[in-house]
Amino acid sequence: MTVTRPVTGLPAGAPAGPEVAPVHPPPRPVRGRHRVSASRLAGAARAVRFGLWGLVALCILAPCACFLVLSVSPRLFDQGPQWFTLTYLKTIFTGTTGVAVLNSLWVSASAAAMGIAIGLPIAWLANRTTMPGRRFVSIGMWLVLLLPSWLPGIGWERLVVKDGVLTRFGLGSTFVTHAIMGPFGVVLLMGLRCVPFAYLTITASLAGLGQEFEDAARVHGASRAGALRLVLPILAPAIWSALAIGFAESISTFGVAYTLAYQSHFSLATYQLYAAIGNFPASFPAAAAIGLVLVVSVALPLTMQARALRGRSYAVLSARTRQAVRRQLTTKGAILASGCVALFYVIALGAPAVGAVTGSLLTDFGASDHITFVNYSGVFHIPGVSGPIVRSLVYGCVTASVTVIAGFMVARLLSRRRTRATALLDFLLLATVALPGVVFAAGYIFAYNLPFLSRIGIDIYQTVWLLLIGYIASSLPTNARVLVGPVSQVQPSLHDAARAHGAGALRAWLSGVLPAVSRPVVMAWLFTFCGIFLELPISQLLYAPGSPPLSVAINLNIAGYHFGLGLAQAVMSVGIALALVCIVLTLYRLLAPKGWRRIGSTVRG
Amino acid sequence: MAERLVVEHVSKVYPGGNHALRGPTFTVDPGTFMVLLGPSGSGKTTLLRTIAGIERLTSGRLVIGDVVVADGRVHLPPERRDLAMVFQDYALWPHLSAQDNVAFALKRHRVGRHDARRHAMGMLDRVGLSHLADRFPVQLSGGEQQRVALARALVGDTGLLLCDEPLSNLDADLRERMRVEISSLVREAGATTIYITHDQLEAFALADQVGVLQDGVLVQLGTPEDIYATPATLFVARFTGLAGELEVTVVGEGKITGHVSVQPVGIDGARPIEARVGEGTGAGAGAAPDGPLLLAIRPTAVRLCAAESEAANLVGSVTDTAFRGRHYELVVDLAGGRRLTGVLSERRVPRGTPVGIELDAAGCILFAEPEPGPPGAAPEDAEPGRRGGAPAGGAPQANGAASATRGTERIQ
Amino acid sequence: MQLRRNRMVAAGPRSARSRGVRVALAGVTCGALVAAGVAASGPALAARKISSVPLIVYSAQGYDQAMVKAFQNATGILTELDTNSTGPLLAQIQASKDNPHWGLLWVDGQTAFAELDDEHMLVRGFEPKVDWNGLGKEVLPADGSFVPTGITLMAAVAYTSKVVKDPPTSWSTLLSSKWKGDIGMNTPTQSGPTYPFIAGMMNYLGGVTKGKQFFEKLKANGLIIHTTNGPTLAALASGQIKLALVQSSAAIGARKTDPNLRVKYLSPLTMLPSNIGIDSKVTKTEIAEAKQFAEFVLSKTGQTVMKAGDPTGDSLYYPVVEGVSARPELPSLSSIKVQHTDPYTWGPREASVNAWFVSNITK
Repeated sequence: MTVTRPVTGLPAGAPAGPEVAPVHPPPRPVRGRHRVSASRLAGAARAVRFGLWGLVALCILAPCACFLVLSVSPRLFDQGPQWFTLTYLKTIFTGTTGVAVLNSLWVSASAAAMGIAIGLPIAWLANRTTMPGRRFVSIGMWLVLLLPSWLPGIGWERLVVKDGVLTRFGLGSTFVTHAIMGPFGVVLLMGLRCVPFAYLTITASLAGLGQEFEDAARVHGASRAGALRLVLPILAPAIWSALAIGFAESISTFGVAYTLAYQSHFSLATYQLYAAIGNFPASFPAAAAIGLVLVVSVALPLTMQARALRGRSYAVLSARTRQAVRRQLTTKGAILASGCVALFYVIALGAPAVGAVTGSLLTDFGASDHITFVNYSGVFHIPGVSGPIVRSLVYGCVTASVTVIAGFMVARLLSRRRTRATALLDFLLLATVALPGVVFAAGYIFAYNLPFLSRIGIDIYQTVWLLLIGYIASSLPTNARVLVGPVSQVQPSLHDAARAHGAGALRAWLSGVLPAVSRPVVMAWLFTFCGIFLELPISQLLYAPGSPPLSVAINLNIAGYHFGLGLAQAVMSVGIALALVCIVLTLYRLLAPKGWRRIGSTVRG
Repeated sequence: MAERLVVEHVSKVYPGGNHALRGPTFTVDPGTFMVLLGPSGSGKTTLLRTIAGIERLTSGRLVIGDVVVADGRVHLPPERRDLAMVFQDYALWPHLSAQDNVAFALKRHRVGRHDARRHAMGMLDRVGLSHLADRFPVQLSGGEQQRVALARALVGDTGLLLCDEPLSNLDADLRERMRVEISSLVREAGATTIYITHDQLEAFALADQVGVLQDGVLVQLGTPEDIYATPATLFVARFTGLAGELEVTVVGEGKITGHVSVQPVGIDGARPIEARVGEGTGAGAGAAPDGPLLLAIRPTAVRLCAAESEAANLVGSVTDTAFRGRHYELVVDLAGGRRLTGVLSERRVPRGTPVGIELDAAGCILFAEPEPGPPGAAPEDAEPGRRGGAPAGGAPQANGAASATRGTERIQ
Repeated sequence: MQLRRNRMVAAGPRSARSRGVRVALAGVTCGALVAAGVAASGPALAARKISSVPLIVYSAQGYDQAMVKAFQNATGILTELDTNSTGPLLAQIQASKDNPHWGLLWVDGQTAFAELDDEHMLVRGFEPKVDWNGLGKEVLPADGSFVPTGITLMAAVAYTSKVVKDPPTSWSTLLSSKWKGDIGMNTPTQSGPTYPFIAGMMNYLGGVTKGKQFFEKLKANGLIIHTTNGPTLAALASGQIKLALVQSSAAIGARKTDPNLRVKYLSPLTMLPSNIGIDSKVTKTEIAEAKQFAEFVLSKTGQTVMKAGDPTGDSLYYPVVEGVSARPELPSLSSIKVQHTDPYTWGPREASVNAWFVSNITK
């Protein structure tokens, strides 16, 4: 080796080595051409922002508002004689409806809390310890999330009812039956559904929570538990966000209200809302009054969130976060941790499986142990059954693609600086999460089937367009909220850096921003797809005659004469959805550049 | 009460077989300010984290005061080691105010909440931040955050204070001011301090004792002056600053001890140079070394003279001249493609001017050919602490992307 | 590790190219999806552009798909089907009251039709020229605002011969402690045929109050409320209940999957006609097409389609025109008393009775 390597003299300063380089000011456009393009860009950005607001207003707010206004002014849409009345609002606070509303409130709050209580430890175990099987935790969470909400309800019912599956295995007890077929069971079911929301939000947040916060606590005298107590509050934004979305999702869930809660004579607001619409003549004003309560109730978690986080900052400061070290679990600890997590999955996924199996594989719903595939072979013999499946696949794909793009942009809007407008947008989006799908659907009919619209040639009711808009609008709020986390982690500098190095706007986005969010975007796409693939209330009211989506076909069977067949169809549909999830994830693994996957990934080692 | 720290044959092997520490052994006397100096991957962070108790050592022994805090079997958790630490990224808890951050460190003394806050306020006052006590970390500048971190580390009055490159995230100006503050505050507190850095200027400026680490081995321990004057290895010499290195042969025969005369190889017009024999030349046995030797030249040994001067050991021409305020710093190209940097000059010397170089024997140290594994070339990933532990039983996965990311972070 | 890094470097240009391919692939996929979506919904989109007015059929009948196909083949009239449960269909009709998009409505039960008629939403005075049989004449509305097409009965008692050896013989025996906790029925807010059953019982027992008392006693005897026919029969099959009060067609259809299932008719049974009503607010052409549809349904061809379209469900009905026999699975009605409740009397009571039921019986 020669000695001609560059060397540094002592007085000259620091030795050669990776050191903090001088901070360069961001490249400033100096030439006129650049200034023009910059102002044009700003104009375009403003236009996009207005466009987004317009989209949100037209597709989400207007229909919801049209529906909700019925609660005080039925005459407005010819649904009653009064121009203004408080009758319907009063019913919310009295009688069965009042009880149902109250039930919904405390059940949803408990479910959201339960979601955190289970989701937080699992997120911690999966991301911060060497728990065996941690790689499967995320996939499992997605499974829980993708199940149609009514399937667990049916499953539990089949398990615990008199002469149900548990009884047949000699495990039945009236205590369990009463516990599950009542408020406890309802909270349990809704809570299990909140777990994935908590898990996903907290996992994303844990990724930014470097090891040093814990280390600092330990060296300054905190025990392991003390350090945890100190560090957990840093996750407060994630926890509150998960609570809020868990609450909103729970309060709008119809699946549980319709199955378990209903069977156990435990009335929930959504059930009352559906009953008001399902009656003939349907009382839209009464349903609107309940919808209004649901919307307002979302203010509850949001206010609590705002109070809890007010004046504090949780921004994780350092860009140079030390990645957390997984805690080495002892054999005993590992067994215990894996066991608990496995138990969660057995409960969350096992019960629906029982429901699906007993319902579709046993002709007599489990009265005997005779397994039959007659329902499944039946599925293939129904004429024209493939049409709805293909149609719903396409609807799901289109909706998911559009929603993810729009959701991404809305999320950007939300994650930028906090103004009154964005705070309002945040509330409105969460409020719409709390609205059951049927409210959207009915709202769309009111808003987009106005006679004057038909007169000026806008006639989209009962066309596929309104259905798609309904799908998109109903999935956008959840989507945007789920994407806010990952999007806010994208530093503008990534984009600017790409631009500064000569990339065009699109290429800059593709190379600078997309990689950082590709994984959450793919997940959001799948989540939306699965939601729409089996979506019922909007499909029922808005589908274009002649083109029924899958869920309408399934529902006709389940509600009508062909319960087993319908369940078999449902099980197969869930199977199709899961297969598609696997295909997309595999494609992502194969096609996406390695770095993309790495960036969004929060599970290491 | 300052504590004595004893480090004995400490080794740390990460899952995946990465040897981060290979048995450094030293003792730090109570009240001493010890700086561990080394490049990335030398194991200094791992050593500090092992002392803190955040990492478990694989073998060896650590004693703080009279207590064995770690050996192969015992591992006292960090909170029971009665120490404090300043983190490179400050590690201030974002949801607590500056005052609460500082007050947290008093919890171990079971101080009441009110007293803790009062003490914390006092400490913040000492670091000049009492007026910002209610601010959250995100509302503070980098320097202010660092001061809060320092206050948190000092408020507990622990016997041992650990500092993990606390200045590396600050800009040059702030760095120097903070260095002075740390130096005075820590000495005021009287705690035994272990401070790690990769910056030899910082090390020399702060330390009572400097330990130089290379690949997990403590290669030299001594006062800053010792280390500068008599670097134990070529690595230490290079890491603590050289103007240049020349390939040389010994003039005449005989034992190579003390001072010898050497002749640069392949440089026209070079005259023999008086040099001191460094360690690692094989000279200890008194035999002539087999291979060619290297002459390490400290910038302090280089004096500029006229090209024709009798005193000039070397001649060359100026290729760069930088005005540094009090003086000029030149780069001089020698014949044969060699180059000296950091050559001081009282006056401006235009580029291309032929100059003579006179070398002082005190700053010219003779070493054998470089040992394998030169510093700086070690892969960055060799510092496992930063990566958070390689996954067991497999090749580290994150290399490409992770090191790229780290690179970016530094630049930012 | 070093190797991997090298490989990545070497792969640089190629991976850039393949990224381009990927982007292109993604674009093509998206495009294809949108195209497929438009294609899949083609008829719906095209519908508004075709000059001939399509007939839009809102139906909750199991044989509606077969019927629409047969009708379209026979007449060449473009017919679009919105098949759904009765609830959503009626909700749609009510929500789109000011700007209706349906041509005809074909669902079970007459009360909804009576209410739509009261709101002048149905074409009146239309009676297809067919030879009504006795049942048909009984359920024919006076003002010709809707057309009965077939009759099922509410509520048949379904049970399993393995479990129940001596089924109940009258409605009052259901109140005996022998059946405590063993009886299940549907809720009227979810199941269309259930309100007519409740109304029928009230009619039979001598008024709303007497009827309410009957259901309150049933509830005191452990009545279990399920949502619709399917789940109630599922509860029967799984052993949760021993007697299921469901629509006759559902009960008889269920025998296909469970041979031990038996159906008992208790006297009197309430007739539940399926009917076609025509939207009064659509174009004359569409009204004419709708009338043609109703006539086709009641024709020999139409009845054959109706009887074959949903053999284990809605096809198990009693015909309303002479010369058409019911499917062989159906028991004879000669020994059973059937009653018809006047929809114009019982229709207006539906909302309040259902609300009462939800608050007092379902709860």
